[in-house]
Amino acid sequence: MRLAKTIQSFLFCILVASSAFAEPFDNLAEFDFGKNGPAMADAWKAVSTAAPAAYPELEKQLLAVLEKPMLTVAAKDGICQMLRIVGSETCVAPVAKLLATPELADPARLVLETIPGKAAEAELLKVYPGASEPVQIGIFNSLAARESEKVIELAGPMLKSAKPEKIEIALKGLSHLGSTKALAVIDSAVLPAPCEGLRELAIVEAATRIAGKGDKKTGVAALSKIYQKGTELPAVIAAFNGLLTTGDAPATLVKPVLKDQRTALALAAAKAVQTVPGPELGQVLGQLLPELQPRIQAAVITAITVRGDKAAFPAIKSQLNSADPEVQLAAIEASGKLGDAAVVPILLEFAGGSGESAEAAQQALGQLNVPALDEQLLSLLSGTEPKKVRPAALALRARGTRAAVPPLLKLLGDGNPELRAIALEVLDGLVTNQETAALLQALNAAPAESQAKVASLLWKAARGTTPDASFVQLWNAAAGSSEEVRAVLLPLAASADGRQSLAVVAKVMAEPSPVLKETAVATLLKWKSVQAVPHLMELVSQTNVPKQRILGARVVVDLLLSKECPWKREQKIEALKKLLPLMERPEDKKMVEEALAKISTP
Amino acid sequence: MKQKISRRQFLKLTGATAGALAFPTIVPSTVFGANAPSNRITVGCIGRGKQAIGLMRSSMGIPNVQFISVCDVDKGRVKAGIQEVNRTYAAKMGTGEYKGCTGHEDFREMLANPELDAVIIATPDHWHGLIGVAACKAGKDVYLEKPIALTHHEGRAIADAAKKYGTVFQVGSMQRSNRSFRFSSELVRNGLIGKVKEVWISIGGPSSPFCDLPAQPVPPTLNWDFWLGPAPWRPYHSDLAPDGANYRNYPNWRGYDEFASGAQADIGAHHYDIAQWGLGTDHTGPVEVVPPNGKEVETLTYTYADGVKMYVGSKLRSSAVQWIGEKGWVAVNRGDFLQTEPASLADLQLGPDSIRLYKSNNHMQNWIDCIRTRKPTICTAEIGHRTATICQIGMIAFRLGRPLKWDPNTERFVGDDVANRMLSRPMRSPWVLEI
Repeated sequence: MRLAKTIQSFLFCILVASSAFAEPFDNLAEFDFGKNGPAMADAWKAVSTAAPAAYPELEKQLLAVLEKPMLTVAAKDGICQMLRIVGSETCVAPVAKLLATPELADPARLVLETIPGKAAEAELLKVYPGASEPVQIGIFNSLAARESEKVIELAGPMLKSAKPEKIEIALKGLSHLGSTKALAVIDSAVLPAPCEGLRELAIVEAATRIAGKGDKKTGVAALSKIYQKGTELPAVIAAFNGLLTTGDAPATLVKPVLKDQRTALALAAAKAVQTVPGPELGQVLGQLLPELQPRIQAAVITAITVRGDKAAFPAIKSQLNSADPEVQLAAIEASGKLGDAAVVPILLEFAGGSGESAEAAQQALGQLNVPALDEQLLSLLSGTEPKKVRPAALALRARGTRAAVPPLLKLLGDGNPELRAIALEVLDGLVTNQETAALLQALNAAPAESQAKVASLLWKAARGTTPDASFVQLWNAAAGSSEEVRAVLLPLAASADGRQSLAVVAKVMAEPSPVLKETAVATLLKWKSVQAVPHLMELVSQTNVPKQRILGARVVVDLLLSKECPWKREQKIEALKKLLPLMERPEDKKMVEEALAKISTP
Repeated sequence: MKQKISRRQFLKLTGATAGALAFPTIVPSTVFGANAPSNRITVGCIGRGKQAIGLMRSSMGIPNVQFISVCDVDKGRVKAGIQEVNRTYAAKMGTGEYKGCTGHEDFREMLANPELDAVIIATPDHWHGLIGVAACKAGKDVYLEKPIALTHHEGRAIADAAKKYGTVFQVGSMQRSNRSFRFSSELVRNGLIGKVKEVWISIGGPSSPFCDLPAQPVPPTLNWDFWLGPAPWRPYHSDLAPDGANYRNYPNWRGYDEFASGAQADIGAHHYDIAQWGLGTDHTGPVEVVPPNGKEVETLTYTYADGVKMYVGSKLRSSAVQWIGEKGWVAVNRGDFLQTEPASLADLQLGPDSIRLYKSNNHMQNWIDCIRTRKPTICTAEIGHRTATICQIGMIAFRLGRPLKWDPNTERFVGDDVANRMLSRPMRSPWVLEI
């Protein structure tokens, strides 16, 4: 009895398991493009969620569906794609049958290409002689991908083809093999003259693969041949790069090539040496530098910089005076990474100028790692000549030197407007909320024309991550400041955009000072969130100034119509209904009515 | 003695050249910068969809760039591209007429033009491998839209080709050329949040494993077979290649495995790239990937060799990338979104001893500058390939539905032949990828 139950359970499990496979695959027969997509989706799900142990069973089920009559091409294509995951030698023969169908030759070949073992290759070779040309090319490519030596045999007739594209495919297949035999075929093939460049490219690829497989001597010999005698520039460059990585003496190779008349080759060499290790090469590059063409000089300076060859820096330093702007720029950039203390005055001079060289020099000074540079730059801040102070100040900012903040704050109160402007420019990017008090003090002392800029700087320092609270704190701190200073600070409330800041503005609107009152109204009219609406409504209803009434109403309408407005529809309608009777001009009434209509429409 | 004929002549002789090849029209130096024409860099664009149009315009705005060539498998788009370029230069020159831009339907024809220095490639992903390698091989410098390739095999081929042919190669993961993304990565690299424990990435999911869209009539201007190229054959549908030269949306080829990898690679190529930058793993990658299983693993999860976990999901956080360290966190997103804990990190000034990352404020400009100087770009082919690898191994984990061990040195899965098979995809005849 117990045994019978066990057998019954076992059979049930098998039934469930097999139906889980069979069902999605059975429906595959109905699949076509645009028809019965879920059948293919179910099949894919079954394949992709299966453990590898279940692959043989899935393969069997898929092959069973493949045998069904009236199966669409799309379904067979889909089955092939799934067999690329679960397929094994078992599927080779049934899939190979599809090679004869033009629409399915590719999907079938693509299954066979990735299945290991001799059976797949044998099927591909069996079909090859009688296949159409596109199918033959596909099979050739698959055999090459599998690195089958049969490629050599099949390439022979292809290399004699009148079609250059067929010759190219043959050369690619042979080069992919990376064998001396394939290399010999490439080298000795009689090709039409226009295919010589393709031959050179194929030789380089074959040689690189041969060297990669351990036969360095053969690989290097073939690369040298193309490097020395090749005429197809990309092939020559590739041969050079191959020799640089596989050859023994990079420095010997580099010397002549950097002086080569083919600029593209020399530039490629300069790029390639960026990643070749060893100090010897760095020294060689430094020695060669004065003898090179300007464009190559710039590229070699870049290479030395990327390599980090400090020993070659003296050669670069002399190029800081180069007449060629590109070389000079490369030398300035190099100075930041490789330079020494002696380069500081030169960089400061460049940094005080204008254009790309000034910007590069400022960046270089920001990166330069030499002792006591910060102290040297800080001492320059006490100077009186703006053209000397500015580069030092910018360099200190680029270096993130916080010690520059106090002297720069001091400069904010300097009598020279140029020095004040420098301080404002540089402090932007250095100040933090630690400087709030000092900046407020500077604002109180600042002349009227620079008050707005100082206030902007102050706000950048003070606002932090809680701008609403920060504004109120700042406003309270400025309680003893002049009316003009407070009028400069008040508009910052709109940027804070919070309830506390809004309350400050509303309170100031009630103050007697006309300057502050006017500023408060202007600030309210710039408010970006709907919390300002009650205050704006109050302004509209109470003001005697028509312009304020009109602008206030427009802001209310804009805020209520805004997508970000969190108010409920009823709330918005109520506000607009209150606003409507306050409007005097017909166009303003129309504006509110239109807004009402828009909001009322669900 | 063999007669030497250039590749351009070769293509003409063999009939592969259908359209006209022309030398760039000589234009006044004022149009291309003070030192033109010696400084002039001639650029063409392969692909003329929404993304390509933006890149094309961006490149034309750079001094010293002369845009000379447009290529697309849709004749209508080629025509519209030529018209736009000619109109732009005519306006710049103030002559009312300019005819210096050529058009092609076959990228091989465009690449054979010896007057062309550099190409922008903005095609669907399934074409990136073939065209990217072909461009390097033709000696052109390359700007290739992200993700660098559809498959790992293609990405590795492109990175190797760029190295082999000395190509100045920029991958379009352009968040690197944004201050917030750079600065946030610098904060992480300088250890300011302590040792990183976790990274959270917000991106959408993978593509559908197959495209079952119904067949539609092929638009008369489109070469549909060429659009498909190496991808499996299927009938035309406008969701994949919308009809119309002035179509202005992103088509949905991104949603299907045959052509792309969904948001996992489309947006992943941006956000994983930044995660890698911050972690300092540009030349390596994670060692394990685990797909969500609806149970204890809620989201795609990567693990790095040092134990850092990277969790990936749709809108996991308000940020694109968030690194969480032992002492704090940094979160970054587009629109200059930068939040830190402690908050003071966001305003920190890095000193000269700090690790400074490559600075670029304009991705296209950086590429053009590097073409002149031969400096490495901010997002090289190798970097782009390592980023795309994260997308690709994640896709394979999604497809197989099981955890996978990854060796970033050998760039193979450990002990999983099926997963390794999925690192490449065979190409439809006659296409073959060979560097």
